[in-house]
Amino acid sequence: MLNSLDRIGELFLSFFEQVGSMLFFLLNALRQSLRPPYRPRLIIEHMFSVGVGSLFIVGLTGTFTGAVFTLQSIAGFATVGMENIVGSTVLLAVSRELAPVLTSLMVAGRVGSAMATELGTMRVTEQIDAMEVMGVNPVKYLIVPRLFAATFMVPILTVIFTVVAGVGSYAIAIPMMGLDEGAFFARIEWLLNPYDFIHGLVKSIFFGVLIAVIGCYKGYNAKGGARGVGNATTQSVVISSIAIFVVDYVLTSILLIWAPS
Amino acid sequence: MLVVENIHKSFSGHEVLKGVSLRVTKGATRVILGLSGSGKSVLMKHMIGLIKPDSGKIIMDGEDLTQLSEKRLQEKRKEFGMVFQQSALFDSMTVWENVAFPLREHTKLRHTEIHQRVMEKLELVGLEHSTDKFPSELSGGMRKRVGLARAVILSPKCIFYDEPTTGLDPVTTDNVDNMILDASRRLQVTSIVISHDIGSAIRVADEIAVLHKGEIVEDCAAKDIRKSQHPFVRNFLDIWFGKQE
Repeated sequence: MLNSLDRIGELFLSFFEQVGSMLFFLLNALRQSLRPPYRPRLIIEHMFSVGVGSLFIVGLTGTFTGAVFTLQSIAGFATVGMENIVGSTVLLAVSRELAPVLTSLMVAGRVGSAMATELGTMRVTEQIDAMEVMGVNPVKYLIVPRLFAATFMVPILTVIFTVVAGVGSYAIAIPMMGLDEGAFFARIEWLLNPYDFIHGLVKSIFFGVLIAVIGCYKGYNAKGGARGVGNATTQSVVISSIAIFVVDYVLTSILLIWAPS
Repeated sequence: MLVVENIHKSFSGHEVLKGVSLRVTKGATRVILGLSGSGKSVLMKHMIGLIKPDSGKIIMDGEDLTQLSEKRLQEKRKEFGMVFQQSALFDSMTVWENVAFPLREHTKLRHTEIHQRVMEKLELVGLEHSTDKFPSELSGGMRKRVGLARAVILSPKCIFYDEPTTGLDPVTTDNVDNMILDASRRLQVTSIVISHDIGSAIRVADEIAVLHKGEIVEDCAAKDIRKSQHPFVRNFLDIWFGKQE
């Protein structure tokens, strides 16, 4: 019994220690980002890798999410004769929830894991030590550009997700299911307002920071050769995914307080 | 020039360095010999400021590295060059980019000047025709040579070599020994070599210190190491030279 309690206590301590270390890691990166040199070329390179590299997977996920959600909604709303609000329902759910969450999960799987693997490999092969010995601050050189890239690109990808999900929804609702085009757009205009998109965008900024911090922290602190890098990569994806859901709940609770009635 | 004074360091309650003191003469090649796990790499990381000791001092040109701010330490590190055991070349960069990296980061030189300096150093290590290759396309010996070119590009006062001959065949080991001697002679730098390869150590060293279980058990001129009476050093030498016969 005492052993089990000890174990639970250790798990809690380890959890808070990790969260604290990640927070310090983020603060250190932010502090370093204020000091010159600013390396815009590196930031642009990473933005390209995070943004353009994720376009296909985010576009594909967005299109099918919009399409499937529309199919399900039409089936459901048809029983009460309200098929016309399908477009607005889909876009409301996508812009507030599905776009930021699904985009971030895709980016965590593709980019967060790549950050952990790349930095983990650099750590275990002493490339990060080499950088430090050369008098180059590795947090500034390696972490800051990745942090900026994810923070700026995840919101942009979220907007793209929302747009293609809308297109996917339209493609299913109008040409395939034969809903009235005028009613489809009128309901969207009636039910949605700019706040719904801002709601999703604010979340996606936080998720971008989370993905970069967790991926970079796990890779930067990897140890134990190839197995250590593998563990860092797996942990970065698992922790990022869980963190996205938990932070999503917290942010939604806060953002709904300011939601216009 | 570089003085290590009574360094103690423990990790998780295990004392790795137990009051190590060492003096490295300017311009000399100092080899620190020891078995795996003797604390050599930890000692070297202290000397370069990557690890802070629990107590003791590392003094370079009158400045105690253990007391410097992170910013000043980064400045100070420009006076060091280091050749890593596995070379630690940036695998996303070509040979040219690896060697140019410190210049691009720390100087405002134009591309043509950087190119000229990089080619000069690559010629020094005989790799002027491999500029566009990536580290994965190079052999172990070639990677070590690129590592040396990168280490000396900022004209450091002191070069550290971490196990430079570990895992290399005898011919490549000989080439790496020559590379260390050549760099030391042509660049007039102080060299500190961490190794367990006693044959190579005797070849390149002016002075040898033997580290055993976190303590320096022998510290003498390279030519005098074979006269050592310390039981561990005697055993080390007997095994090595027995092997050679």
